[in-house]
Amino acid sequence: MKRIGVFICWCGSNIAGTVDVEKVAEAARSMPGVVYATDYKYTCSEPGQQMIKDAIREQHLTGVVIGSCSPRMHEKTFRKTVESAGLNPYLLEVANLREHCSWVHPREEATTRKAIDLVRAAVAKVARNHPLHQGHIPVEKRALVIGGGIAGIQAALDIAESGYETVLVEREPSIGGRMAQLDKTFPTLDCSACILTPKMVDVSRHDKVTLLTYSEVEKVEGYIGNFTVTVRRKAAYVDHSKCTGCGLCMEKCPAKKIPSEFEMSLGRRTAIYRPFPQAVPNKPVIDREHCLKFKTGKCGVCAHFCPRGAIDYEQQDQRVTLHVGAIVVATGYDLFDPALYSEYGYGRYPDVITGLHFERLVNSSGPTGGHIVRPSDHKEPKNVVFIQCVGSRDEAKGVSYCSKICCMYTAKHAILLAEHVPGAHPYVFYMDVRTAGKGYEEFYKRATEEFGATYIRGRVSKVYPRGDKLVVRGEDTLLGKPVEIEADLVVLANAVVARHDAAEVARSVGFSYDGHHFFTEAHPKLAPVETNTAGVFLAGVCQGPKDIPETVAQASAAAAKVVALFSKDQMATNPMTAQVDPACCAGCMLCEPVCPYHAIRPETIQERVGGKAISRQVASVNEGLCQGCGACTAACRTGCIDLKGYTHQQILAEVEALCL
Amino acid sequence: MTVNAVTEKLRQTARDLLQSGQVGVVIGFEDGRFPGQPRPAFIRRAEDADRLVWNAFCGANLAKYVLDYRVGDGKIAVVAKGCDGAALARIIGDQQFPRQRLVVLAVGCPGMLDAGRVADAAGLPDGAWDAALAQVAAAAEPGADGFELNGKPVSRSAGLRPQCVRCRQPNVPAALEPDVWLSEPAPERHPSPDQLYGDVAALEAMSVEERGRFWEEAFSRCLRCFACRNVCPVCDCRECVLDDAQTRWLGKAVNLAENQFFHLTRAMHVAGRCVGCGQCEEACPVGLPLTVLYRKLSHDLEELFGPVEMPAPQEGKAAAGAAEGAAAGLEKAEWALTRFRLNDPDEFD
Amino acid sequence: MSIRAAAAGSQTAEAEEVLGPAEARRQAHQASQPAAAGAPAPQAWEPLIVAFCCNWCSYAGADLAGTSRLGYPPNVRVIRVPCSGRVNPLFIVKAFQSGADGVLVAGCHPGDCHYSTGNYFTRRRFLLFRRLLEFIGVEPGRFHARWISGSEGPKFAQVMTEITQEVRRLGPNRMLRDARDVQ
Repeated sequence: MKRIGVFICWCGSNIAGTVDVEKVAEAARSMPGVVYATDYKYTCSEPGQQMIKDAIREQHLTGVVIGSCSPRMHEKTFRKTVESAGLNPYLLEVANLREHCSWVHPREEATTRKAIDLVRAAVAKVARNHPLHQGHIPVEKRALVIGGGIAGIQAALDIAESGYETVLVEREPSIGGRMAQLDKTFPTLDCSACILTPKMVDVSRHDKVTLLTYSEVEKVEGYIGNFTVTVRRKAAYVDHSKCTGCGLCMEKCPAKKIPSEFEMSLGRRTAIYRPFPQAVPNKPVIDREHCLKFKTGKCGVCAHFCPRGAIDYEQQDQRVTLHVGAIVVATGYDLFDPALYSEYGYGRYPDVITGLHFERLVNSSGPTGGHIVRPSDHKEPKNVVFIQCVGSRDEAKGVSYCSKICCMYTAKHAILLAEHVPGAHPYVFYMDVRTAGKGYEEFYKRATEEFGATYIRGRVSKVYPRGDKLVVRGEDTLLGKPVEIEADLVVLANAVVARHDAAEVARSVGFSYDGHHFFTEAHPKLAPVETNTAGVFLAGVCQGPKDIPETVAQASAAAAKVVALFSKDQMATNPMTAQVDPACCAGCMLCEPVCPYHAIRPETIQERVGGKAISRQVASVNEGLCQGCGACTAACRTGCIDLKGYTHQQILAEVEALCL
Repeated sequence: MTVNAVTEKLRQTARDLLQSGQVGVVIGFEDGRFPGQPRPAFIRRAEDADRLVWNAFCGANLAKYVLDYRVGDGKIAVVAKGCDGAALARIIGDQQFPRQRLVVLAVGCPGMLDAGRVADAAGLPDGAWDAALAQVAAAAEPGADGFELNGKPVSRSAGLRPQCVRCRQPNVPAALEPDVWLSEPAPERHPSPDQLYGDVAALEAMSVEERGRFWEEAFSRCLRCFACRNVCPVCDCRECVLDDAQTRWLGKAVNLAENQFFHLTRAMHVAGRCVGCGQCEEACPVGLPLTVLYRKLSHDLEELFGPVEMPAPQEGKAAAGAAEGAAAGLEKAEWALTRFRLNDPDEFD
Repeated sequence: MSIRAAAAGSQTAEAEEVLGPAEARRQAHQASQPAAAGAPAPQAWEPLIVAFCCNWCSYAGADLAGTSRLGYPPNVRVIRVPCSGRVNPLFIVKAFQSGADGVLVAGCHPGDCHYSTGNYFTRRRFLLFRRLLEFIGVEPGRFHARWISGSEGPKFAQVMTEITQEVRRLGPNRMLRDARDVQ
């Protein structure tokens, strides 16, 4: 016999100001199975919860309905309340009388009627609830960090420092990421390499860290605490266990004119190469596309000169299977292609470059040894025009968001230019200067006041050559006058965009991404490093544009989440999983392809048919893998897969109760 | 009466299979009570093989019967026209019967005749058509394009069952790899769009109210005898959701609303799985135009998501002695509703 | 009986005579049904909309409409499901059968499913099911599927308003409805 208790919350005046709560409680008393119904000012308060507990005990309730705020708000709270009174926490249903009723409808009879309907549906559902119990699954205390930029390095270091094994996977031949390409960092003008390279070395030497560079994550299966990851180690054609990193091969390699990706094509590299001198690991790989041995079959110079015999042209990609309990995704970003703004002439005029090109030009280990020169004629530029928001904040041609770092790095570039080139004059075309951050506004002030950068508010309409100069034509919107500057060099602050293959990464790991392909955090305020896939965390710009301090903070936050997960030996599982009735399942397995977690597998059961023991196939659900989406239940024609907590009977009862 | 060549080969094959113990039963047809209405036969002894017949009235789909042999591990032989073969492939793909337990006796099917239609076309007077139909039945394929009956030329198409007019699969799917061909494969058939979907289109052209009246009138007639489901070879669940007494999806009252629930459920469950054998309409005692509903859905599925894939056995038959009960060597069934493409059409915003 | 007579009998009015007129059966059934208890007062008809909302997007969108105080007609009743992929088309038939005048299935935008792929199946299933409903005579405005994210509170309120208006214009639903003539 069902004994259901109904508690209608006033939520102060939030519900009671609109809904006639007494009438709702009164109506609940005559609903089937209800033995007790009352209303109370704040159900979630201490005395409110006590009232529920007392009623459970005194009325011997077998089910509880609370008409209150959204279950997304307090369902967990009330489950605990119910549990502490000795009732199974899943014998509770919450009717959403606030967000779905009192807050969106006027104070009138129809609103109270709706509230009664919602309570009736919850009563009908709870009458069909069954006690559910959490299971426990073991946690593999090893982390995977995808991406070896500053975010991935920091996360890996923090996790490893807490004593847990960490695998850091980087697809390039070296870790370091974007930060390794930068010259100085704002607002302190620390040398980027000086603060990054020690961390690169730390992470590579850490006894808890396994570094897999030149490797890509191919497949992720499993679930929180128990992921199985397949990593493809790309063939480097160099046996890194033999290579000492002496560099002789690179010296001797005859293919020397390959544009260096690291140097933004401003410098050249060989076919056997490491991306930059401080690379970690400091061992080369062969770029098969440009290597003469692979292209023509004739060469083999590197193999000839290698003192350790480390060159191996026969090397194949290898697949490594990892078992990890948590994943930190720190895959970084790409930059917007400024050629889409044809008026700026990027790609047409060699002296129109991007901010990242400028970083390499000003860097003392860069292709020019730190001398700022024009790519076209290697002359030192005097007038340099910086154009901000190239792609950012432009829904028509670019992206709608602000890339966040460009204002600051442009100010930095202006300062570096003035420092490096005596008499040089930086001009900056901007939409707004955004300097939120510690010491940022002061830094921008220095650029204008101390280093004489001229800031012009307005957009550039055209860049075109005149002699060996570039004419930048725009409008100063503050003065309302057209401006024309004869520039030696134009630097574009192009937008930060998601990695071109971000969506694939998200899909293969199994979490969501936004319209710009930045990865989506589980909650923008309260779960900013979690994803909606348990056990997968985010760090750095893959989640959205941010600067280095924010990236590092987020990486440490993600690491803290991983460490918290690893601090327990077992993890409680969601008890609301799918369940097969093997007696009725025909084993057609049409449920299998709809399961996103590969939780459904065929299983052989023994059965007696006509007095004879037979074995036959049925579907079976791995409760550790099942996340409770219920897609299988709708795919099953027989209806013999059901979802605990959202059973066919429960939903049909809700439908009928609502339509009464 | 002479025995046609296909029947001859069928009997011989059945005899051999039973005698050698390769199969425990041969499912085919034998003469029924009335000429022109052969009935399914289950031949278990070699000496009964001569009961088997094959003629132009063997329309019933035999695939459904293999489900009766799910328990056990012996082989069974089934005579299979195109639609039997398509249904067998579906049943195998649904992992309800392993291919290696089947011996498929394929027959090319030029379309099966309907006794009533033949009699009408030949203008046979009531009570006088038994002998005449027996004459037609004696030949496996009475005249390619027609035959003479009652002194009148009868075109074959005039006597065809409606589902055979729409047929696109006169032979078993190639992927089924039949064990024996009892006849030559039949030539391909290309029904016109009008033949395939003319009746669907006519309903689509109506106003939604008119269509509502049409189907209400139809579903009101339903007796809920479940014959359409019971005869359907792709209704291969062990237990039907409609019989689920616990959840009680389908109410017990026989009224219009529950009848509609029944038929909408069935329509969604055979959507894209229906093989077009038309057994449901033949079995329906109150003449519901059920295949119109199923063809509408199959057509829409194809239009929305591309051709509906047939389950296809893999290269070569599963090796003898493959794992017992496992559908080894067979691909799993694809169903348009349990797969998707990222770029599927989207009409919901 | 000759085959022909049997064949004819299955096709024509003969069968119906044996069964008794369908209408008579329906009325007999309806007479045996008790009037629905607690039904809204008969004087003014108000449309009843049942909305199946996935927990992660559309239900959250409805919550956001609430926290943002974005009003919509009180005719909508939300049923919370973990994922729109959980929604069996038979639920929709049941809702119409039980008296809903309009039904909505709402889930995350394709690509944003909390369970990564559930709503792709929803999309296929209901693209087809909608056609089936229209084919058997349910007005197109009565069944809807929409993608509403957790941040689209305004969209939730707007969709609810639109659907309520549309269903109000269509009037009470009679298709698929059980014991429809009782009211």
